[in-house]
Amino acid sequence: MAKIIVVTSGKGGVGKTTTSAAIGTGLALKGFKTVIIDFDVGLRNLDLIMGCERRVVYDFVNLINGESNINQTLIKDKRCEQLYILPASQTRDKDALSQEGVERVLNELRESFDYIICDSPAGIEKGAQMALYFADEAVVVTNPEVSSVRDSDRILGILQSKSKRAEAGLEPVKEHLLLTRYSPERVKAGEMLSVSDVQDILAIPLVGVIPESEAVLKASNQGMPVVFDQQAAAGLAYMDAIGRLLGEEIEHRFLDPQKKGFFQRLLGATA
Amino acid sequence: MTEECFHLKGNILTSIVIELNHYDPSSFVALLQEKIAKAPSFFSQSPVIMDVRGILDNLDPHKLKEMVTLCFDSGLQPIGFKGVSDPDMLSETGLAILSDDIVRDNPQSVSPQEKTESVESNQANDSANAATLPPPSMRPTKFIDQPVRSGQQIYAQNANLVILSNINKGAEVLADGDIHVYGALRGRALAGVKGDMNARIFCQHLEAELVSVAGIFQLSDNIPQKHQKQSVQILLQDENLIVKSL
Ligand SMILES: Nc1ncnc2c1ncn2[C@@H]1O[C@H](COP(=O)(O)OP(=O)(O)OP(=O)(O)O)[C@@H](O)[C@H]1O
Ligand SMILES: [Mg+2]
Repeated sequence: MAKIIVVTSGKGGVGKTTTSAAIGTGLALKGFKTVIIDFDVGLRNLDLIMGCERRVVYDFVNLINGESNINQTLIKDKRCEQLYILPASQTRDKDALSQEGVERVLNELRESFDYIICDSPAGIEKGAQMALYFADEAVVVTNPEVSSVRDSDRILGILQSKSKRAEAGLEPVKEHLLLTRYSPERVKAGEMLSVSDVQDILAIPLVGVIPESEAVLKASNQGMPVVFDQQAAAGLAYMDAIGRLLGEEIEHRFLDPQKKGFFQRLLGATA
Repeated sequence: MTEECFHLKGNILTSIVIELNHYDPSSFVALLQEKIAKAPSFFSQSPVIMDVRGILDNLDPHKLKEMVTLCFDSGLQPIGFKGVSDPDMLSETGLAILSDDIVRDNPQSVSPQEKTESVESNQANDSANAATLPPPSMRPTKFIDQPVRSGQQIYAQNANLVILSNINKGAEVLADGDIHVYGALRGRALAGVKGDMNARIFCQHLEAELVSVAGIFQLSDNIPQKHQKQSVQILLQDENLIVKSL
């Protein structure tokens, strides 16, 4: 039986899709059979970041409407044996996802996968609520700034009141805080909230801190999840976060400003 | 599993009541502007009810419509009228009739308190209500262990409220009795919401957006700097909201 993990944030553009791709790929690299579902119907970003946009034939809405079956619709990743993508429809809107339809698809996927990663759309409305409804765990993606923290707080309130687990009185959705686009230099300069500022407000366990990194942009442009780039701090930080998600105890790194060596400075090395 | 079209939920609303003594459009607008200018965020966030019992003699649908328009134009959110019994009077406004059992009077005149301005008391109203308010039978204290998050509201009806975690910005906690907060108070806290002037708020870390006892409000901007992020109690003294260090 698969575990369902929603990647959510409230606020848009904070790194949900980047994170879904990284976590999904990382889990698959660790040997777990994983599928990443794009709940952002109408926008469809996940397939771009995963580099499989040209292989999309059927999508999530087709599957829900019975116009295709699971085997036809899932896209198997070419780099990683255990990894599958369920793309969103580009031509429909979020109303095309019915709760019964989503539940039916998730139940079917649950049988054969270890992890189901749900990439949520932005917002706190229907689309985001659909993505989190069936979740067992939630990765709440937050940027170190006030409005993102506020929206994460709201989405945590929704997880606690409007998820299936909450409604059925089951054990609550397990919450993980993932701080992304963290820049220790800017925190030090007082331009960004620090890890402890954010933790103080949200009061949920910290699963990882992903530094602001040009490698992320490069990776998404190449359709290559950043965890493949083990030279990049962001890729390493995501692998650490995945380890913690699996229950390993791993110390946080990349929290302090980097001391650049002479040669690094000379070469203009990136984070 | 099919999801129902809607769920029914109970709710308690903090609102402002505009109690009219007389009405003409220009003085109505002028006073509205004056009040709003003192505490813009207070007024922009709260729904407004218009109590027209004082001006029933010369009321007509046109006037009511005009009031609603003036409120909206001033950036308020009018939701209904109190004191109107004939639905036809309101048909043009599109707002609700709020009967006396729905809207309980707060014994206090409500006003976001300014540092310099002391709150005018409304004596006539005061004694009238003191007579009609039955002493509430208190229920056991309500305990909340989790953070209260933006968008959430907690109400301890006929009870004290103890919060062992943070109340975040955008969250609201209300109690008919006292409120104790052992985390940081960053949202809104309203004690004695049914008018208990002896109610108090205690907190370990005051960073509130709004605090209120028995309907007398104070906004963050008006809480003295020296109390910010400190451990305090908040209570009424001579109908003024006082913040004291603990
Ligand atoms: N750690 C990082 N460092 C630098 N840039 C990043 C990082 N994480 C994400 N980004 C960039 O931020 C932008 C938004 O990322 P992404 O699309 O993952 O966000 P999202 O939350 O899924 O957005 P939406 O709400 O629109 O779905 C992208 O350009 C991405 O490359
Ligand atoms: Mg996205």
